Amino acid sequence: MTSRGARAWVRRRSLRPVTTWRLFSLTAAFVLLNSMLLGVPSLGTMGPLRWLLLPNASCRYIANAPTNCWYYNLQSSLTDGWSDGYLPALNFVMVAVGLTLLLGRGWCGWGCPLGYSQYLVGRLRTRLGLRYRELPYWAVALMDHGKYAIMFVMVLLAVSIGVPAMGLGAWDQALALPFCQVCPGKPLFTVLQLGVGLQPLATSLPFVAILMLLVLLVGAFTVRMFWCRLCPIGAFMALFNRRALLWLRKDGPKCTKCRVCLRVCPMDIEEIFVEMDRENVTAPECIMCGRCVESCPEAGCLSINMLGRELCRSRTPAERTADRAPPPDLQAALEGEM
Amino acid sequence: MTEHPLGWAPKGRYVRPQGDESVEELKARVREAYAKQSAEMRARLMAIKDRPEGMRYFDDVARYDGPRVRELQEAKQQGKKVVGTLCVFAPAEVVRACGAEVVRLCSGMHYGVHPANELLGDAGLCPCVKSTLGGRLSDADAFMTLADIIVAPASCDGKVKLGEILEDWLPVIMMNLPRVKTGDTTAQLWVEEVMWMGQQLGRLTGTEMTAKGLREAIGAYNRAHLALSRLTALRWGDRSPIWGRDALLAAQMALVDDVERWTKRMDALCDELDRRAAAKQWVGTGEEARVLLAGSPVIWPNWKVPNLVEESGGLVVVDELCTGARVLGDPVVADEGTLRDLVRAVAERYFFPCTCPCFSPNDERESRMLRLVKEHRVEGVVYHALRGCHLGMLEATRLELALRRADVPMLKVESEYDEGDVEQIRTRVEAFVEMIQARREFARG
Repeated sequence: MTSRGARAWVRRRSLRPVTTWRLFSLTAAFVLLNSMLLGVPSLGTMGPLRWLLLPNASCRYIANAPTNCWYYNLQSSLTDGWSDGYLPALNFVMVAVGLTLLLGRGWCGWGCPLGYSQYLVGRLRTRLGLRYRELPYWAVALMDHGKYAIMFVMVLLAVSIGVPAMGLGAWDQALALPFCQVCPGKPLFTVLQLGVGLQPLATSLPFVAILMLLVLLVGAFTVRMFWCRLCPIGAFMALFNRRALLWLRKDGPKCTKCRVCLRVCPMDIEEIFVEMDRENVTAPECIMCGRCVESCPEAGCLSINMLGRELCRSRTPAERTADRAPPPDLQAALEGEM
Repeated sequence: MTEHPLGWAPKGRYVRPQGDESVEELKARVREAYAKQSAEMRARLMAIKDRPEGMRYFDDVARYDGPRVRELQEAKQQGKKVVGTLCVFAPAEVVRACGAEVVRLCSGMHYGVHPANELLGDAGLCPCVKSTLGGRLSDADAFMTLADIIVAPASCDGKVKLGEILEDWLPVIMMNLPRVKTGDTTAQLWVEEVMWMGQQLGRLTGTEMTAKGLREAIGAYNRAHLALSRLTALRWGDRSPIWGRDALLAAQMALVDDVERWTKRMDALCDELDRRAAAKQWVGTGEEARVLLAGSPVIWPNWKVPNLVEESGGLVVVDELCTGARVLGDPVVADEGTLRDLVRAVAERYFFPCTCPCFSPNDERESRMLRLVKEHRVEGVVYHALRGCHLGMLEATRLELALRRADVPMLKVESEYDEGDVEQIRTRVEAFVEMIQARREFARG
């Protein structure tokens, strides 16, 4: 990359500061926790790391995984049945609640490997000059609410397997870890690891897993953040999102109702656009990607806050270009890079 | 006669038989009156003491039969099309992307009202609509006679019928503007309308709207938005380096001028004002009442109300007019790069943040007005309503009450284009300004 190209890159990225930081974070989380492509098997045996129960930490099926996704832990402890009074499961739930109250669904936007892959697939789509599919209102609402049903069914299945009276013991092998069987993460990582010559735990993929991988990729190619709308882990975090320490603030009087926030929102959240009185507009579906904040053309109308500190705020076009000479590509400033 | 690319043919519903000498004489008289009114108003503004040099350019653009008109004539000879718009909702970016020149046709000429009154016989109709029509009837409006096609968003009743009537003279693209802002289909409908308008214009000009062209046009208008926001920021302070009527003229000329050149000139004007502000070269005495001008369109050369406000001891620090701050008030923010995405971004920018009283719900207007009051430390609002602008009048009460809750007085001025009521309004404005100054004295204690 020439220095000129580098400068242009920096300029372009500085117009989307939140997305840039988010990309760094997503890449780091993917490489360190989820891909293990760098080959750090020694981490995998370290005991304390097992308790790094991040919502989006390593998939169980990754070779050399340093830790496991907490949803796997939850399911596996539920499947164990009543023997220890579901205390381990409660443990995992408490950890998850704590983490969610810390960052909300910021975990989705800033650390989730599935979100990362969907982002990359979406970028591929824009590079190809294709449009995303605009979802009708009912489809958005259906998925927003449907994800809770998926979460409920998944937990119920895991519990049922652990209860002998349900008679699902015979299905234990097929239904164990019910969500892991349909989670697109499993085939994604398995395929990736096989691709770089590692030996993941699931070397042969069942039909369902391959289908789910296709659902993830095709879905994300046509609909923005398709899987995030259905994900049961996201549904769990959505329950606490509005109360999290990381929150999205809207300064109602500054809003001109230009609808930019709604148009750029990959989750099609209307609340940020509609709400004029309440300050906290962290909708349950909000994955804290910050697209609305960096796109909003009103100074300080939208901001991401944590513990009383403003982490980033929206800027006017004049502010965005203030630190530069009269902008040759203000166009890019307001359109985003193509 | 070759067929029009859009299949348009003159309808002949309103056109009377030609060749009547008295008609020609009347037309000449209207043209004369237009030139006179424009020149008088220019002279009045140019007489302002110690006016910024940069305003000269905008004076020229505002000239009746000025250089901009000649420029458009030449462009037409080279095969370019001139697109006239009737309302702030017509997306100029799309027109530019179709390779055409865009001018706003709404007219502020007083004399044009008479021929339209003759034709329609409706004395209660808003003078903006009548004057625009009169400009066409009498061939007196320079831009109207140059236009190849008109884009007419159906915003208010007057504009709807104006577009329909004008179809007798030239092709009109009516745009179905949804007037209820809520609902899932609203945005879709408007995006479709803008898309369709772009396609129609593409057929007329032979230049199809492409993503690249539209992106460039968006860039040009966003740069213009930046330049205008500089001017707005210059008027935030306790003292202003420019009179409000000058700022309004400069901003309004973006409606008829080439946007790139306008941006350059606006930047130059702002540079000059920066220098003046640094040298503490302010306008007025500093005791002026800080006024927000809102309401029906104030269209050149109908500078009656801004003139009265600033001649009576007020200073217009900001406006909320669809012929002023609202034209370039918001930038287009596009997310993705396909043509449809860009059209959607443009369409939504023209539709959603617009606080035209034709909309319901229109809570944004209230909140925007209160925000402007706060930002510019406005002490009083002058609400200008054209007689016959029902929508403007209907919203006045609500705004007055909202402003009263914020402890800001509002003066409602209902007026026509003619000069008959000037002195009466002057008395009211003077009293309003005195009241504001008294309030200020009282607050100081």
